[in-house]
Formats: sequence, structure tokens, C-alpha cells
Amino acid sequence: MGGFPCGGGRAPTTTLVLMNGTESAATSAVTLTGVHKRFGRGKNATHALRGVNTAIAKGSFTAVMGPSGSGKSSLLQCAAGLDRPSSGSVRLGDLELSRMMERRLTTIRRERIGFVFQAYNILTALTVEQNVLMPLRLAGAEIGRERAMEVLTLVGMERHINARAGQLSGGEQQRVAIARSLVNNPEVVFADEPTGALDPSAAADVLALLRSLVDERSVTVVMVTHEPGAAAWADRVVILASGEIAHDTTDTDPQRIRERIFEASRRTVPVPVPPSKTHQGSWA
Amino acid sequence: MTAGIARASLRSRPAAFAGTFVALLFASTVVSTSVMLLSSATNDDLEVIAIVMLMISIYLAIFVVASTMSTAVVQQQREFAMLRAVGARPWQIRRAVALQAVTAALPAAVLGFGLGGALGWWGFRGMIDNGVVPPSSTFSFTWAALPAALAVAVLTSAVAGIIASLRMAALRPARAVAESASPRRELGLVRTAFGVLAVAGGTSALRMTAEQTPDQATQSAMIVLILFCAGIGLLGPRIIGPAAALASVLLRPFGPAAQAAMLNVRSQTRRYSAAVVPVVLGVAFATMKIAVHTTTEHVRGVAQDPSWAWLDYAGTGLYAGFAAIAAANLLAVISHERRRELALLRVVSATPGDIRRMAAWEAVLLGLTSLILGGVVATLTTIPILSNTLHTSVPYLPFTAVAGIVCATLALTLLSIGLPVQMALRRRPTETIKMA
Repeated sequence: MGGFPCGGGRAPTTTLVLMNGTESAATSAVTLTGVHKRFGRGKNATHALRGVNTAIAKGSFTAVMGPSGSGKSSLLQCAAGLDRPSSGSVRLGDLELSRMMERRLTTIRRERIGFVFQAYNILTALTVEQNVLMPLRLAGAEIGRERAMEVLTLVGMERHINARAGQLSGGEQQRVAIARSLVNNPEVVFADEPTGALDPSAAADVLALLRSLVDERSVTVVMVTHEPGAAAWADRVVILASGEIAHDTTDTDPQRIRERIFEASRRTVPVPVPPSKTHQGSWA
Repeated sequence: MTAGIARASLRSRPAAFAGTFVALLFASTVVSTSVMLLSSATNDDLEVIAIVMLMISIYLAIFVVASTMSTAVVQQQREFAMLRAVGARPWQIRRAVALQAVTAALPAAVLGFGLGGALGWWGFRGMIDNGVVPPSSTFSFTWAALPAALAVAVLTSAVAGIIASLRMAALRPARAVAESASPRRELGLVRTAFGVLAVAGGTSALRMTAEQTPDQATQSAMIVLILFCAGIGLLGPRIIGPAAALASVLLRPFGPAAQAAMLNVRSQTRRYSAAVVPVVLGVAFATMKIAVHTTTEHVRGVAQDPSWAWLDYAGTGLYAGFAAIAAANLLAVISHERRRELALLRVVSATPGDIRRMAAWEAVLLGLTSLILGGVVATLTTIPILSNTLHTSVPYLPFTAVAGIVCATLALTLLSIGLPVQMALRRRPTETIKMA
């Protein structure tokens, strides 16, 4: 366990084909097979996802990237049980999520999944402890302060357990959100642009924290981000374009990610964009 | 846990609950007045009046609080989506919203009990003066009104809170987040169909009044009014648009601030329609009630039974009061949400004076739009009653009544838009932009 169990890195092409949906559930935390997501009907329908196949290995750190509108948020929402795919299969371990009713999904989310969002992550009027214990309390569990202390220690926020969450800085609030995401011992933590609202040093702290959770505690993390610098902390980068996986690589060098996204964005946009308007620096 | 969430939301957004508090305060006041009148009643008439007032205020309070709570729910949609994501069930969210409303209900009921006592005493004197009750009767203050006000406020707010969060709490979290970023735009087909049905029903009921006896005609006029009002509510944005276009013709000569206001309102008829509809209902109802009384007096040349007129006006005041609260709440919320946009205008060189002028013109435009629509509905419903009971189709409205309705409408829109704008202007624009 621990380290980088994601097999893709060592022999890129062949293992990656294996990873695409066929890898056994024993080593995959999440498996997506033929996942489509459509919004709207008829002529106005937009296809956010067009047949995505991938498997997320247990104990790995995966970054999902892509230009705006490439479907990366839809992918995260379908994989995390926040939304249902229009067709295809989403499995959390051995559990099929794609046809599950909302009531059942809610239970799965609170018991087996952790979430970190970009904003509106915690209730600022509550204390840090109340925020961290929220998923357990919603489930009616009588687990108390010790558990909050435990996960807050993991994120280095144990001294703030009694603080009002609104008084913390943006980076500290994200740490509390990460602690909350861990409180139910989740099989996967899904993070949607967790550093999007942070300054570079706070962002680096949060990413280092996620990295250490993967390395030291074998947590599985799936993170959507548009920053190549953030994706560089991951083991594996999945780049989406027009709702399909365009690249799936363990090469997390920011410059090469930037080039690949640039390439993907040219495939995404139906009307060619003049080079002067797509300056690469916008992702930095 | 529900209590924790409710408390957290109340603490972070006290302003979102101001409308709910005011609506419940109004309802509690009327309830406690009704209960005290009931205990002072020496004849059946007064008992019936008090019970009718009680029922109407419960029924209106549910609607108005559901409206004010919906705006509070919309403002918290992102947080609720997050809670749903981390495992809150729909009913946990609904309970939290209901609890928020109940939290506003408790102080509102206590305060309303006191105000209700004062209003009851004052109203009772009015009834004696107008011969509704015999001059020998006395007003009896009763503590029983407090539990009654508390019970009504708690129950209506809980029901309204559940109604307000019914749909939002059931959404999948991903959908709730998407909707909070860009609200639904389309006017549902079902809603449009029901709107057309209501207007068609109103029109055919209007035709029928011609062959009815005066008593029947007066009753069906109420049905016509209710159907037209429901139609306007359902078709809101489609009707408000043309009416606002008509009202803006009147504003055109008044310079750039008026024109900016015109563009603002006409580009957002959907948002404003929710606020304009209750004003239209209030204007239509009040105008109809007043016109029937004044025209009857004018045609017959004799004063009407003062007790009947007094009661009718008191009931109208009740309706108008609730409508005004619903409208004021929505207008204030819309204006408050615009603070960032106003700050941006200031950064790019608009002076606070410019902003105030623009906001004032918007208020005038919305007021005029409501007056036009309310006037049309009132005319449509009043004329059949008049031609049936008095054989005249020309309503008589004294200048003071017209002026009163116009001034009250404009005061409502000016105050509920003006106060939040004034508050936004107190902050430095750069600060507002950073915060929002």
C-alpha cells in the first residue's frame, strides 16, 4: 500500500489500456465505463461527456484537466455520485452508482466519499469542529470530538478546533474542508478546484497536504484543476477535450501538461481560435 | 444537526430573514387582533369578522412567508448544495429551512401580540364610531392571543419553509450548484398553460356576470379578480415586459438616468416580475374595492352603510399589507444583490447621485408598471359589477383615492429599492467588489 500504486506510469501505453475499465475492482477505487452525460434534449442538447472509460487506482492521486467546457466537472460529478450519467457505468469499488436512486446515493456520499470544493466549502458561522463532524452528524452518528481532533491533526489544524470557521484564512478553511472530507474514512476524496481561490503559497500547502495523505495514509484523491502547477503534484493526469479523454499520462511536468491542454483546447473549440488570443500563460 | 445548520445560516445572513420576520410580525399582529376582537365580541357579526380575519391572515401568511423564505433559500443554495454533497438528505435541508423560519417566528409572534393589542383597541374604537358594534361594548385585552399568535406564526412559518425548500432540497447537488450559478430561464410550459387557462377562465366568468343578479355578480367579480391575478402571477414575465415598455414611454424624456433605469428594468423583467405581481394584486384589489364603494355613493347620491364600508376597507388593508410585504422583500433582495454591479458603475465614474437617480427612476418605472396592470385588472372586474348593480359602466374614483393608491405604490417601490441602494452606497465601491 501507499506510494504510487497507479500502474500507468511505468509502462505508459499498454498498462493504460488495461486501466481503461478492465482493471479488477480490487485495485480500482472508481471505475468509469462508457460514461455519457448530456444536458438538455433534442437540438439544444450538449454532450458534456462522450464515452469516458477510466479507472482510478486505490491510493493514487489523479488530476483531471482540460479546457473550459471539456467536461472535467461533469466527470467529477458523475464519478462522485453528485450527478447521474446519462448512460454508462460508474462503480465505486464494487458498487454500481450510475443507476442508484438519489436517497441511496446520499447515503453512499456521506459514508464512503469525501468532498473538497473551491468555495462555499464550509459553514463560516459554525466552529471548525462542527464543520468537520458535519457528515457524521448528518448521518446521525454519535462520534465526537476525538474524531474531529484526529482528522484536524492530519491537516495540521488541531489548534483551531474551537475557532469559528469564518475567522480562518482561505487556506486554513480549505484545510478544514479536507479534514471534513476525511472524517468518514472515505474510499475516495474528490476535490473540485481546491486551490482555485487560494494564493500560490496557500495553494502549495493544500496540494502538499493532499500529496502527503496519498503517500502516507493511502487516501485516493481525484482532483479537478485548471492549473498545470497543481496537477504536477498528482501521479497521473487525465486531460479531457470535448467530453473525451484526450491524454492519460503519468508525465506531470507542468510545461508538457500546458502544451497538451493547449492542443486539446484547439480540438475542443469548433471555431479555430487565433493564436494571439489563446496565450498559454492564462493557465499558469 | 438541523438546528446547527439553521443557526449557521441565520447568523451568516440575518438580512435574508428580515422579510420573513416582517411578514410574520404582520400576521401575528392581525392574529392577535382577531383573537382579542373575538373575545370582545358581543354579537355574531363581530365573531364572524374576527374569524374571517384570522383565516385570511393564516392563509396569506403561508404564501407571503413562502415567498420571503424562497428568496432566503436561493441565497443559500450553494451552501445547501455543499451540505447535500456531504450527505444531507432533502428532508434534513427542508427541516433546517423550516427551523430558520420558525426562529424568525418566535420574536415576531411576541412583538405581534403587543402590536395586535394596540391595533385591536384602535380598530374596536373605529368599529364603535362606524356602528359595527354597539357603543356600549368594551374592548377586552386577552393573554390568550399570545399562544394563538405563537401557534399561528410557528405553524405558518414551518409550512412555508418546507414549501420554499421543497424543490431545491430534492435537486441533485450538481444540479443545485449549476442553478445557483445560472438560474432557470425558461418559463415552463405547464406554467404558461395554467396562466392562459386562468386568464381565459377570468374572461368567461366576466362574460357571465352580465346575466347574473347583482349579488351573484359581486361574488363572481371576486372570482374574476382572483383568476386574473393568478393569470398575471403565472404569466408574470410575459405580461410585465409589455407593461414596462408602455411605462418607459412616459419616462423617456427624463434624461440618461431614467433611460438607464428603463434598460435595467426591461432587461430583467423575469426577476422583477416576482416583485411586481404582488403590487399589481394589491393595486387591483384596493382599486376595485374603493371604486365599488365610491361609485355606489356617487350614483345613488347617499352615503353607504358605514359599517359595511369600514369592514371592507379593513379587509382590503389586510390584503394590501401582505402584498406590500411580499413585494418589498423581493425588491429589497434584488437591489441588495445588485450592489456589486452598482459598485462597478461607480468605479467607472458614476457618482452616488447618478446611482440614486437611476434607482429612483427604476422604482418609479416599476411602480407605474404595477399601476398600469393593476388598473387594467381593476377596471375589467369593476365595470361588470357596476353595470349590473348600478347600471353604469363609468367607475367614479375621487382624486384623493387615486392619489392615495399612486402615492402608496410609489412609496413602496421607492423605499424598498432605495434603502438597500442607500446602504450599498455607504460602502466604498472597491470594498464591495472585493467582498461579493
